[in-house]
Amino acid sequence: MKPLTSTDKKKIIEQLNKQFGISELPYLIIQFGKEKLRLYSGILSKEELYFLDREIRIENIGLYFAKWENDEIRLSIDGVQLLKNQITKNILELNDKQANEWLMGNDLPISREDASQKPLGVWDTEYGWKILKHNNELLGCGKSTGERITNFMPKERRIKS
Amino acid sequence: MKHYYEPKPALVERMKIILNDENDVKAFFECAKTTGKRAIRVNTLKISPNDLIKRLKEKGWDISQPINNHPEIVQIQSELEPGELGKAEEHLLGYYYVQEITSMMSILALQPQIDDICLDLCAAPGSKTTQAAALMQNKGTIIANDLNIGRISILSANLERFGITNTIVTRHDGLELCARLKKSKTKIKFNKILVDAPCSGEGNIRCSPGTYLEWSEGLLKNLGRRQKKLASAALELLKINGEMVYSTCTHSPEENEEVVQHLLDNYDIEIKEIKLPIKSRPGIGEWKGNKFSPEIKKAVRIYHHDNDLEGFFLCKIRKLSDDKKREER
Repeated sequence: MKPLTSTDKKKIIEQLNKQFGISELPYLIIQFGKEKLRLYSGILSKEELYFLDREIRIENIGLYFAKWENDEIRLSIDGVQLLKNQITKNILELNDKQANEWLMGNDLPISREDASQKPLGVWDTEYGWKILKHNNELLGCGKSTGERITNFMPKERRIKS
Repeated sequence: MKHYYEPKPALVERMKIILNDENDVKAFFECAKTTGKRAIRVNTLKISPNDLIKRLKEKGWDISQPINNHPEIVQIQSELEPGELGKAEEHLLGYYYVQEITSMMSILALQPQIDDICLDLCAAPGSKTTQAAALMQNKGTIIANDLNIGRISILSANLERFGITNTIVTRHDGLELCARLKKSKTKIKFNKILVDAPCSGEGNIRCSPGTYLEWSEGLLKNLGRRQKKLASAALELLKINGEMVYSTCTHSPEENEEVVQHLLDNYDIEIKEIKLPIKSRPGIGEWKGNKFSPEIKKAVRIYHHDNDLEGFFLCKIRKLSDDKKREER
Protein backbone atom coordinates (compact mmCIF):
# COMPACT_ATOMS: atom_id res chain seq x y z
CA MET A 1 0.00 0.00 0.00
CA LYS A 2 1.61 3.24 -1.15
CA PRO A 3 -0.06 6.66 -0.94
CA LEU A 4 1.06 8.54 -4.04
CA THR A 5 2.85 11.87 -4.05
CA SER A 6 1.40 14.93 -5.72
CA THR A 7 3.82 14.40 -8.64
CA ASP A 8 2.56 10.84 -9.16
CA LYS A 9 -1.03 12.07 -8.85
CA LYS A 10 -0.43 14.77 -11.44
CA LYS A 11 0.89 12.16 -13.86
CA ILE A 12 -2.25 10.06 -13.38
CA ILE A 13 -4.56 13.02 -13.90
CA GLU A 14 -2.70 14.00 -17.05
CA GLN A 15 -3.12 10.50 -18.43
CA LEU A 16 -6.80 10.36 -17.43
CA ASN A 17 -7.30 13.73 -19.09
CA LYS A 18 -5.65 12.54 -22.28
CA GLN A 19 -7.70 9.33 -22.40
CA PHE A 20 -11.08 10.40 -21.02
CA GLY A 21 -11.11 14.15 -20.37
CA ILE A 22 -10.96 13.73 -16.59
CA SER A 23 -9.37 16.78 -15.01
CA GLU A 24 -9.53 16.35 -11.25
CA LEU A 25 -9.36 13.68 -8.56
CA PRO A 26 -10.21 15.21 -5.18
CA TYR A 27 -8.97 12.13 -3.32
CA LEU A 28 -5.84 10.54 -1.99
CA ILE A 29 -4.59 8.02 -4.54
CA ILE A 30 -3.15 4.83 -3.12
CA GLN A 31 -1.27 2.30 -5.17
CA PHE A 32 -1.61 -1.38 -4.37
CA GLY A 33 1.05 -3.58 -5.94
CA LYS A 34 2.57 -2.33 -9.18
CA GLU A 35 -0.58 -1.39 -11.03
CA LYS A 36 -3.75 -1.06 -8.99
CA LEU A 37 -4.90 2.41 -8.04
CA ARG A 38 -7.42 3.17 -5.32
CA LEU A 39 -9.13 6.41 -4.25
CA TYR A 40 -9.58 7.29 -0.59
CA SER A 41 -11.77 10.21 0.46
CA GLY A 42 -11.51 9.76 4.24
CA ILE A 43 -10.02 12.04 6.86
CA LEU A 44 -7.01 10.02 7.99
CA SER A 45 -3.62 11.40 7.00
CA LYS A 46 -0.99 9.53 4.97
CA GLU A 47 1.01 9.10 8.17
CA GLU A 48 -1.95 7.63 10.07
CA LEU A 49 -2.64 5.27 7.19
CA TYR A 50 0.99 4.20 7.16
CA PHE A 51 0.92 3.29 10.86
CA LEU A 52 -2.47 1.63 10.60
CA ASP A 53 -1.22 -0.53 7.76
CA ARG A 54 1.79 -1.57 9.82
CA GLU A 55 -0.28 -2.26 12.91
CA ILE A 56 -3.53 -3.74 11.65
CA ARG A 57 -2.66 -4.56 8.04
CA ILE A 58 -5.07 -2.83 5.70
CA GLU A 59 -6.65 -5.31 3.28
CA ASN A 60 -8.31 -2.66 1.15
CA ILE A 61 -8.81 1.05 1.28
CA GLY A 62 -11.27 3.23 -0.62
CA LEU A 63 -12.31 2.35 -4.12
CA TYR A 64 -10.35 0.42 -6.75
CA PHE A 65 -10.81 2.82 -9.66
CA ALA A 66 -8.06 2.18 -12.15
CA LYS A 67 -5.09 0.13 -13.22
CA TRP A 68 -1.91 1.05 -15.07
CA GLU A 69 -1.57 -0.99 -18.27
CA ASN A 70 1.50 -0.26 -20.40
CA ASP A 71 1.59 3.43 -19.50
CA GLU A 72 -2.12 3.77 -20.12
CA ILE A 73 -4.96 3.66 -17.61
CA ARG A 74 -7.84 1.23 -17.55
CA LEU A 75 -10.76 2.45 -15.42
CA SER A 76 -12.73 -0.07 -13.39
CA ILE A 77 -16.52 -0.08 -13.74
CA ASP A 78 -16.73 1.62 -10.34
CA GLY A 79 -14.10 4.17 -11.34
CA VAL A 80 -16.17 4.96 -14.42
CA GLN A 81 -19.27 5.35 -12.24
CA LEU A 82 -17.47 7.58 -9.74
CA LEU A 83 -15.96 9.86 -12.37
CA LYS A 84 -18.82 9.75 -14.90
CA ASN A 85 -19.56 13.48 -14.72
CA GLN A 86 -16.02 14.26 -15.89
CA ILE A 87 -15.73 11.71 -18.70
CA THR A 88 -15.97 13.43 -22.08
CA LYS A 89 -13.63 11.52 -24.41
CA ASN A 90 -13.61 8.09 -26.03
CA ILE A 91 -17.23 7.32 -25.27
CA LEU A 92 -18.94 4.69 -27.39
CA GLU A 93 -22.71 4.44 -27.52
CA LEU A 94 -24.11 0.93 -27.45
CA ASN A 95 -27.45 -0.31 -28.68
CA ASP A 96 -29.68 -2.47 -26.44
CA LYS A 97 -28.28 -5.75 -27.74
CA GLN A 98 -24.67 -4.65 -27.32
CA ALA A 99 -25.32 -3.28 -23.84
CA ASN A 100 -26.83 -6.59 -22.80
CA GLU A 101 -23.84 -8.51 -24.18
CA TRP A 102 -21.47 -6.13 -22.41
CA LEU A 103 -23.22 -6.52 -19.05
CA MET A 104 -22.96 -10.29 -19.42
CA GLY A 105 -19.19 -9.88 -19.68
CA ASN A 106 -18.86 -10.59 -23.40
CA ASP A 107 -16.49 -8.84 -25.78
CA LEU A 108 -18.19 -6.74 -28.44
CA PRO A 109 -17.23 -7.57 -32.00
CA ILE A 110 -16.74 -4.59 -34.28
CA SER A 111 -18.49 -5.11 -37.58
CA ARG A 112 -20.26 -3.18 -40.29
CA GLU A 113 -23.46 -4.99 -39.32
CA ASP A 114 -23.33 -3.15 -35.99
CA ALA A 115 -22.84 0.13 -37.75
CA SER A 116 -26.30 -0.07 -39.27
CA GLN A 117 -27.93 -0.74 -35.90
CA LYS A 118 -26.58 2.02 -33.74
CA PRO A 119 -26.12 5.75 -33.69
CA LEU A 120 -22.32 5.98 -33.53
CA GLY A 121 -19.82 3.45 -34.67
CA VAL A 122 -18.24 0.98 -32.33
CA TRP A 123 -17.25 -0.39 -35.72
CA ASP A 124 -15.09 2.54 -36.77
CA THR A 125 -13.19 3.08 -33.55
CA GLU A 126 -9.44 3.22 -33.32
CA TYR A 127 -7.28 1.26 -30.88
CA GLY A 128 -7.38 2.19 -27.21
CA TRP A 129 -9.46 2.52 -24.12
CA LYS A 130 -13.14 3.27 -24.51
CA ILE A 131 -16.01 4.08 -22.17
CA LEU A 132 -19.17 2.16 -23.00
CA LYS A 133 -22.41 4.11 -22.77
CA HIS A 134 -26.02 3.02 -23.03
CA ASN A 135 -29.07 5.24 -22.42
CA ASN A 136 -27.09 7.84 -20.45
CA GLU A 137 -25.55 5.11 -18.32
CA LEU A 138 -21.80 4.46 -18.37
CA LEU A 139 -21.27 0.69 -18.25
CA GLY A 140 -17.53 0.44 -17.83
CA CYS A 141 -14.29 0.61 -19.73
CA GLY A 142 -13.07 -1.67 -22.51
CA LYS A 143 -10.18 -1.79 -24.93
CA SER A 144 -10.66 -1.62 -28.64
CA THR A 145 -8.35 -3.83 -30.67
CA GLY A 146 -9.81 -2.54 -33.90
CA GLU A 147 -11.76 -5.76 -34.30
CA ARG A 148 -13.48 -6.02 -30.95
CA ILE A 149 -13.92 -4.27 -27.61
CA THR A 150 -12.37 -6.40 -24.86
CA ASN A 151 -14.55 -6.67 -21.78
CA PHE A 152 -12.97 -6.48 -18.30
CA MET A 153 -16.15 -6.78 -16.28
CA PRO A 154 -15.33 -8.80 -13.12
CA LYS A 155 -17.15 -12.14 -13.02
CA GLU A 156 -19.11 -11.32 -9.90
CA ARG A 157 -20.50 -8.18 -11.52
CA ARG A 158 -21.73 -9.76 -14.72
CA ILE A 159 -25.43 -10.19 -15.35
CA LYS A 160 -26.22 -13.87 -15.71
CA SER A 161 -28.12 -14.79 -18.84
CA MET B 1 -42.37 -23.45 -1.40
CA LYS B 2 -40.76 -22.40 1.86
CA HIS B 3 -39.39 -25.18 4.07
CA TYR B 4 -40.37 -24.90 7.70
CA TYR B 5 -38.85 -26.67 10.70
CA GLU B 6 -40.58 -26.99 14.05
CA PRO B 7 -38.91 -24.98 16.83
CA LYS B 8 -37.33 -26.93 19.66
CA PRO B 9 -39.53 -27.09 22.79
CA ALA B 10 -36.94 -25.19 24.85
CA LEU B 11 -37.08 -22.28 22.40
CA VAL B 12 -40.87 -22.21 22.58
CA GLU B 13 -40.71 -22.13 26.39
CA ARG B 14 -38.19 -19.30 26.33
CA MET B 15 -40.28 -17.21 23.93
CA LYS B 16 -43.29 -17.74 26.23
CA ILE B 17 -41.29 -16.17 29.08
CA ILE B 18 -39.90 -13.35 26.93
CA LEU B 19 -43.19 -12.39 25.28
CA ASN B 20 -45.31 -13.23 28.36
CA ASP B 21 -48.55 -13.40 26.41
CA GLU B 22 -50.09 -16.52 24.91
CA ASN B 23 -51.54 -14.78 21.84
CA ASP B 24 -48.28 -12.98 21.24
CA VAL B 25 -46.36 -16.27 21.33
CA LYS B 26 -48.84 -17.83 18.92
CA ALA B 27 -48.53 -14.84 16.55
CA PHE B 28 -44.73 -15.04 16.79
CA PHE B 29 -44.53 -18.69 15.72
CA GLU B 30 -47.26 -18.35 13.08
CA CYS B 31 -45.40 -15.44 11.52
CA ALA B 32 -42.19 -17.51 11.55
CA LYS B 33 -43.83 -19.84 9.00
CA THR B 34 -44.38 -17.02 6.51
CA THR B 35 -42.04 -15.18 4.17
CA GLY B 36 -41.59 -11.42 4.37
CA LYS B 37 -41.46 -8.94 1.52
CA ARG B 38 -38.05 -8.20 -0.01
CA ALA B 39 -36.55 -4.81 0.64
CA ILE B 40 -33.79 -2.71 -0.87
CA ARG B 41 -31.98 0.43 0.22
CA VAL B 42 -31.30 3.08 -2.40
CA ASN B 43 -27.66 4.10 -2.73
CA THR B 44 -28.07 7.85 -2.34
CA LEU B 45 -24.38 8.30 -3.22
CA LYS B 46 -25.26 7.34 -6.78
CA ILE B 47 -28.94 7.96 -7.42
CA SER B 48 -31.96 9.64 -5.83
CA PRO B 49 -34.77 7.45 -4.48
CA ASN B 50 -37.21 9.02 -6.96
CA ASP B 51 -35.00 8.31 -9.98
CA LEU B 52 -34.37 4.71 -8.96
CA ILE B 53 -38.03 4.05 -8.18
CA LYS B 54 -39.01 5.43 -11.57
CA ARG B 55 -36.57 3.03 -13.25
CA LEU B 56 -37.71 0.03 -11.23
CA LYS B 57 -41.37 0.79 -11.91
CA GLU B 58 -40.56 0.92 -15.61
CA LYS B 59 -39.39 -2.70 -15.24
CA GLY B 60 -42.88 -3.54 -13.99
CA TRP B 61 -41.93 -3.88 -10.33
CA ASP B 62 -44.54 -2.90 -7.75
CA ILE B 63 -42.67 -0.67 -5.30
CA SER B 64 -43.55 0.98 -2.00
CA GLN B 65 -41.71 3.26 0.44
CA PRO B 66 -43.09 2.00 3.74
CA ILE B 67 -41.08 4.13 6.21
CA ASN B 68 -41.95 7.80 6.70
CA ASN B 69 -39.05 10.21 6.19
CA HIS B 70 -36.87 7.44 4.77
CA PRO B 71 -37.47 7.44 1.02
CA GLU B 72 -34.31 5.38 0.54
CA ILE B 73 -36.01 2.37 2.16
CA VAL B 74 -37.99 0.55 -0.49
CA GLN B 75 -40.10 -2.58 -0.32
CA ILE B 76 -40.77 -4.77 -3.33
CA GLN B 77 -44.43 -5.73 -3.38
CA SER B 78 -44.22 -7.80 -6.59
CA GLU B 79 -43.36 -11.48 -6.62
CA LEU B 80 -40.03 -11.45 -8.45
CA GLU B 81 -38.26 -14.41 -10.00
CA PRO B 82 -35.56 -15.97 -7.78
CA GLY B 83 -32.38 -13.92 -8.17
CA GLU B 84 -34.13 -11.13 -10.08
CA LEU B 85 -33.23 -8.47 -7.51
CA GLY B 86 -29.56 -9.43 -7.63
CA LYS B 87 -29.19 -9.58 -11.39
CA ALA B 88 -30.90 -6.33 -12.35
CA GLU B 89 -28.72 -3.76 -14.12
CA GLU B 90 -29.46 -1.26 -11.34
CA HIS B 91 -28.05 -3.71 -8.79
CA LEU B 92 -24.93 -4.30 -10.85
CA LEU B 93 -24.37 -0.54 -11.08
CA GLY B 94 -24.65 -0.20 -7.30
CA TYR B 95 -27.90 1.75 -7.21
CA TYR B 96 -29.35 -0.38 -4.43
CA TYR B 97 -28.49 -2.90 -1.75
CA VAL B 98 -30.78 -5.82 -1.00
CA GLN B 99 -31.23 -5.51 2.75
CA GLU B 100 -33.89 -6.44 5.26
CA ILE B 101 -35.54 -3.35 6.77
CA THR B 102 -34.85 -4.22 10.41
CA SER B 103 -31.17 -4.60 9.62
CA MET B 104 -31.18 -0.93 8.51
CA MET B 105 -32.18 0.16 12.02
CA SER B 106 -28.68 -0.16 13.57
CA ILE B 107 -27.28 2.63 11.41
CA LEU B 108 -30.42 4.75 11.76
CA ALA B 109 -29.83 4.50 15.52
CA LEU B 110 -26.09 5.15 15.29
CA GLN B 111 -26.45 8.19 12.99
CA PRO B 112 -22.84 8.47 11.80
CA GLN B 113 -21.88 12.02 10.77
CA ILE B 114 -19.66 13.23 7.94
CA ASP B 115 -16.68 14.01 10.18
CA ASP B 116 -16.87 10.84 12.28
CA ILE B 117 -14.29 8.09 12.53
CA CYS B 118 -16.34 4.90 12.75
CA LEU B 119 -15.62 1.26 13.44
CA ASP B 120 -17.83 -1.52 12.07
CA LEU B 121 -16.38 -4.46 13.93
CA CYS B 122 -18.27 -7.33 12.29
CA ALA B 123 -18.88 -5.71 8.93
CA ALA B 124 -19.37 -8.40 6.27
CA PRO B 125 -21.26 -8.58 3.97
CA GLY B 126 -21.36 -4.78 4.16
CA SER B 127 -25.00 -3.77 4.29
CA LYS B 128 -24.51 -1.56 7.34
CA THR B 129 -21.08 -0.28 6.27
CA THR B 130 -22.48 0.92 2.95
CA GLN B 131 -25.46 2.47 4.73
CA ALA B 132 -23.13 4.33 7.11
CA ALA B 133 -20.87 5.49 4.26
CA ALA B 134 -23.87 6.83 2.38
CA LEU B 135 -25.05 8.79 5.43
CA MET B 136 -21.49 10.12 5.84
CA GLN B 137 -21.44 11.13 2.14
CA ASN B 138 -18.18 9.21 1.73
CA LYS B 139 -16.46 11.53 4.21
CA GLY B 140 -15.05 10.83 7.68
CA THR B 141 -13.63 7.32 7.82
CA ILE B 142 -14.96 3.84 8.50
CA ILE B 143 -12.82 0.89 9.48
CA ALA B 144 -14.79 -2.18 8.40
CA ASN B 145 -13.53 -5.44 9.84
CA ASP B 146 -14.39 -9.09 9.51
CA LEU B 147 -12.54 -12.31 10.02
CA ASN B 148 -13.30 -14.74 7.25
CA ILE B 149 -11.50 -14.26 3.91
CA GLY B 150 -14.59 -15.24 1.92
CA ARG B 151 -16.74 -12.74 3.80
CA ILE B 152 -14.07 -10.07 3.34
CA SER B 153 -14.21 -10.62 -0.43
CA ILE B 154 -17.98 -10.13 -0.40
CA LEU B 155 -17.62 -7.05 1.82
CA SER B 156 -15.01 -5.54 -0.51
CA ALA B 157 -17.08 -6.30 -3.61
CA ASN B 158 -20.13 -4.63 -2.07
CA LEU B 159 -18.13 -1.56 -1.07
CA GLU B 160 -16.81 -1.26 -4.64
CA ARG B 161 -20.24 -1.72 -6.18
CA PHE B 162 -21.63 0.97 -3.91
CA GLY B 163 -18.84 3.41 -4.81
CA ILE B 164 -17.56 3.68 -1.23
CA THR B 165 -14.35 5.70 -0.96
CA ASN B 166 -14.06 6.44 2.77
CA THR B 167 -13.64 2.91 4.11
CA ILE B 168 -10.67 0.84 5.22
CA VAL B 169 -11.14 -2.94 5.25
CA THR B 170 -9.27 -5.11 7.73
CA ARG B 171 -9.33 -8.86 8.36
CA HIS B 172 -8.94 -9.84 11.97
CA ASP B 173 -10.73 -11.55 14.76
CA GLY B 174 -12.70 -8.68 16.34
CA LEU B 175 -10.94 -9.03 19.70
CA GLU B 176 -7.53 -9.06 18.08
CA LEU B 177 -8.29 -5.95 16.03
CA CYS B 178 -9.41 -4.09 19.14
CA ALA B 179 -6.26 -5.16 21.01
CA ARG B 180 -4.05 -3.97 18.13
CA LEU B 181 -5.86 -0.66 17.81
CA LYS B 182 -5.59 -0.10 21.54
CA LYS B 183 -1.80 -0.31 21.23
CA SER B 184 -1.67 1.66 17.98
CA LYS B 185 0.77 4.56 17.60
CA THR B 186 -2.00 6.50 15.89
CA LYS B 187 -3.95 6.37 19.19
CA ILE B 188 -7.03 6.10 17.06
CA LYS B 189 -10.36 6.27 18.90
CA PHE B 190 -13.80 6.26 17.37
CA ASN B 191 -16.77 8.63 17.50
CA LYS B 192 -19.12 5.83 16.51
CA ILE B 193 -18.87 2.07 16.74
CA LEU B 194 -21.19 -0.63 15.49
CA VAL B 195 -20.95 -4.07 17.04
CA ASP B 196 -23.43 -6.08 15.01
CA ALA B 197 -22.42 -9.25 16.73
CA PRO B 198 -22.48 -12.78 15.30
CA CYS B 199 -25.50 -14.36 16.99
CA SER B 200 -27.87 -17.31 17.08
CA GLY B 201 -30.15 -15.65 14.51
CA GLU B 202 -33.52 -16.31 16.14
CA GLY B 203 -34.80 -13.12 14.53
CA ASN B 204 -33.97 -14.31 11.01
CA ILE B 205 -36.11 -17.41 11.22
CA ARG B 206 -38.39 -16.32 8.37
CA CYS B 207 -35.56 -16.08 5.85
CA SER B 208 -33.33 -18.76 7.41
CA PRO B 209 -35.62 -21.54 8.67
CA GLY B 210 -32.59 -23.78 9.26
CA THR B 211 -31.79 -21.65 12.33
CA TYR B 212 -34.21 -23.83 14.31
CA LEU B 213 -32.11 -26.89 13.55
CA GLU B 214 -28.86 -25.38 14.82
CA TRP B 215 -30.40 -23.74 17.88
CA SER B 216 -29.43 -24.88 21.39
CA GLU B 217 -29.23 -23.23 24.80
CA GLY B 218 -25.53 -24.09 24.94
CA LEU B 219 -25.00 -22.12 21.73
CA LEU B 220 -26.66 -19.07 23.26
CA LYS B 221 -24.41 -19.20 26.31
CA ASN B 222 -21.26 -19.55 24.21
CA LEU B 223 -22.29 -16.70 21.94
CA GLY B 224 -23.19 -14.54 24.93
CA ARG B 225 -19.71 -14.96 26.41
CA ARG B 226 -18.12 -14.06 23.11
CA GLN B 227 -20.41 -11.05 22.59
CA LYS B 228 -19.56 -9.64 26.02
CA LYS B 229 -15.87 -9.75 25.15
CA LEU B 230 -16.40 -8.18 21.73
CA ALA B 231 -18.64 -5.38 23.00
CA SER B 232 -16.24 -4.65 25.89
CA ALA B 233 -13.19 -4.53 23.62
CA ALA B 234 -14.98 -2.22 21.21
CA LEU B 235 -16.19 0.06 23.99
CA GLU B 236 -12.59 0.66 25.05
CA LEU B 237 -11.88 2.17 21.62
CA LEU B 238 -14.76 4.63 21.86
CA LYS B 239 -14.00 8.31 22.49
CA ILE B 240 -15.53 9.92 25.57
CA ASN B 241 -19.04 10.96 24.55
CA GLY B 242 -18.72 8.63 21.59
CA GLU B 243 -21.63 6.31 20.83
CA MET B 244 -21.79 2.62 20.16
CA VAL B 245 -24.68 0.53 18.89
CA TYR B 246 -24.72 -3.09 19.96
CA SER B 247 -27.09 -5.14 17.84
CA THR B 248 -28.00 -8.73 17.08
CA CYS B 249 -30.64 -10.45 15.00
CA THR B 250 -31.73 -12.64 17.88
CA HIS B 251 -34.08 -12.55 20.86
CA SER B 252 -32.16 -14.48 23.49
CA PRO B 253 -31.44 -12.33 26.59
CA GLU B 254 -28.06 -14.07 26.99
CA GLU B 255 -26.96 -12.38 23.74
CA ASN B 256 -28.75 -9.09 24.33
CA GLU B 257 -29.70 -7.65 27.72
CA GLU B 258 -27.07 -9.71 29.55
CA VAL B 259 -24.38 -8.27 27.28
CA VAL B 260 -25.58 -4.71 27.88
CA GLN B 261 -25.78 -5.38 31.63
CA HIS B 262 -22.19 -6.60 31.51
CA LEU B 263 -21.16 -3.29 29.92
CA LEU B 264 -23.12 -1.30 32.50
CA ASP B 265 -21.44 -3.26 35.29
CA ASN B 266 -17.94 -2.65 34.01
CA TYR B 267 -17.83 0.70 32.22
CA ASP B 268 -18.87 4.28 32.81
CA ILE B 269 -21.63 4.46 30.18
CA GLU B 270 -25.25 5.41 29.75
CA ILE B 271 -27.92 3.84 27.59
CA LYS B 272 -29.50 6.23 25.12
CA GLU B 273 -33.13 6.30 24.04
CA ILE B 274 -33.64 5.16 20.45
CA LYS B 275 -36.50 6.32 18.26
CA LEU B 276 -37.04 4.00 15.35
CA PRO B 277 -39.51 4.36 12.49
CA ILE B 278 -40.87 0.84 13.03
CA LYS B 279 -42.66 -0.80 15.95
CA SER B 280 -40.35 -1.90 18.73
CA ARG B 281 -40.57 -2.95 22.37
CA PRO B 282 -38.30 -2.18 25.32
CA GLY B 283 -35.57 -4.48 26.57
CA ILE B 284 -36.78 -7.00 29.13
CA GLY B 285 -36.37 -6.35 32.85
CA GLU B 286 -35.13 -9.74 34.06
CA TRP B 287 -34.11 -13.17 32.90
CA LYS B 288 -33.89 -16.40 34.87
CA GLY B 289 -34.07 -14.57 38.19
CA ASN B 290 -31.47 -11.92 37.29
CA LYS B 291 -32.88 -8.42 37.37
CA PHE B 292 -31.39 -6.01 34.85
CA SER B 293 -30.72 -2.32 35.33
CA PRO B 294 -33.81 -0.19 34.56
CA GLU B 295 -31.58 1.54 31.95
CA ILE B 296 -31.89 -1.57 29.80
CA LYS B 297 -35.53 -0.74 29.11
CA LYS B 298 -34.09 1.83 26.68
CA ALA B 299 -32.74 -1.00 24.53
CA VAL B 300 -35.02 -2.04 21.70
CA ARG B 301 -36.52 -5.38 20.74
CA ILE B 302 -38.06 -5.81 17.30
CA TYR B 303 -40.27 -8.84 16.67
CA HIS B 304 -41.09 -10.07 13.19
CA HIS B 305 -44.86 -10.29 13.83
CA ASP B 306 -45.03 -6.64 14.94
CA ASN B 307 -43.90 -5.27 11.58
CA ASP B 308 -44.08 -8.19 9.16
CA LEU B 309 -40.27 -7.92 8.99
CA GLU B 310 -37.43 -9.80 10.70
CA GLY B 311 -36.52 -9.77 14.40
CA PHE B 312 -33.73 -7.67 15.93
CA PHE B 313 -32.25 -6.24 19.12
CA LEU B 314 -30.34 -3.03 19.49
CA CYS B 315 -28.99 -0.83 22.20
CA LYS B 316 -27.29 2.56 21.91
CA ILE B 317 -24.57 3.29 24.43
CA ARG B 318 -22.76 6.55 25.20
CA LYS B 319 -19.38 6.46 26.88
CA LEU B 320 -19.18 8.91 29.79
CA SER B 321 -15.52 8.43 30.73
CA ASP B 322 -12.62 6.03 30.28
CA ASP B 323 -13.06 4.83 33.86
CA LYS B 324 -13.86 1.23 34.54
CA LYS B 325 -16.08 0.22 37.40
CA ARG B 326 -16.57 -2.97 39.30
CA GLU B 327 -19.95 -2.69 40.92
CA GLU B 328 -21.97 -5.51 42.36
CA ARG B 329 -25.48 -5.59 41.06
